[in-house]
Amino acid sequence: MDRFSSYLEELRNNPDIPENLRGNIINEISGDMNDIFDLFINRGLSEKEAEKKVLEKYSLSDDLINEFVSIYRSPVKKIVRGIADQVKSLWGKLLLFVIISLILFSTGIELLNTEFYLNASIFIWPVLFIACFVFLISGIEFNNIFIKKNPDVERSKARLANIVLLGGLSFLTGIAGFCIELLFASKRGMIFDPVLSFLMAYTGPDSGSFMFNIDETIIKCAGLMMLSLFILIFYSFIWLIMNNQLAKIEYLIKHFDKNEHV
Amino acid sequence: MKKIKFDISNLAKNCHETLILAALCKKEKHGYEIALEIEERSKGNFKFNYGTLYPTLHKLEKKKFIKGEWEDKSVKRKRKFYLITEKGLEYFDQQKDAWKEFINSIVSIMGDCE
Repeated sequence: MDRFSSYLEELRNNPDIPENLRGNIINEISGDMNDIFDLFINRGLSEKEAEKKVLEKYSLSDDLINEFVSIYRSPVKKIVRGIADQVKSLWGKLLLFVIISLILFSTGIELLNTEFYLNASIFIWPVLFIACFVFLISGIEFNNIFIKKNPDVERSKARLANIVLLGGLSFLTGIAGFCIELLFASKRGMIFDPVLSFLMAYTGPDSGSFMFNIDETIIKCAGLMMLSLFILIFYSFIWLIMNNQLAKIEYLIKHFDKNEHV
Repeated sequence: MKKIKFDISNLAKNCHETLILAALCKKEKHGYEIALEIEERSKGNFKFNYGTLYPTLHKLEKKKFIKGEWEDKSVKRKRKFYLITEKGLEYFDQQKDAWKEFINSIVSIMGDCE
């Protein structure tokens, strides 16, 4: 370990910068700090004076680390952070809460109906399976963040990222199911193009014979899309709430070195 | 040559970028050498936290205005130096003109008050 390594600890432990880049940045800055230290020694300063002068010249603040984070944060993280920043104000939070509550309430009532599942596409089951798995992760993290109030920040961050990713996966599964249902419906209509199949069903000369299948497909697809969208919005909302709380805990740990009374 | 619009709202950022490119226009340098050169050539007028230099260097590298390369001068200490690219030189020329115009405008406005 070299003379200035300990001053770069905060940068070394920052998970928002990719690990390989972090190593390079630290090597670069510490290499330069050592060089300038040698330069001051050659100019006649004592080791203590030279070290003090180097540290004066290189005050590594949080702003510097944030600058690096903003340069190397992935585009997806940039978008997610942008959304999170947008809803930091009280009005932003309130508006988001009202909109999401309305969506979840109106969709949720429909999802409580047993008939919905009987009529829905077979693809709702993998979507529901993913949703149950995410529910389990969310429950564990809710317990760590809001009840125990003592999470392992890095592990919680990874789990919260998984909540969004799996929510997205359930949505993609829904879209894939939607496309497959349409494809099957179009095959039943002997036309391989789903768009043409729809047009034929409603405007073609034999539209009556296709009508039943198409109506059934529409109900299946609508149910599937509604469920997968519901899951995506629900877990995004859960992620947002837990992520904000985790950020507060992280701030307290970082600045006050304590993790109680959050 | 394409003329760029001078972004006055990002004066400090522009200034940092242009000074770094100016320091690199003749010879490749390490991060601290760039900082030292700026300090010395400005006769101490531009004294800044050397730490702030690195994010700007990395931004310029990402935009491909400069290129960073590693040298292994000794086994235990790896060092990175930077050199300006063609794209960087072109951008620097544009910045130089924009800065000259900006400074002339300031001087002219101040001159009106004499």
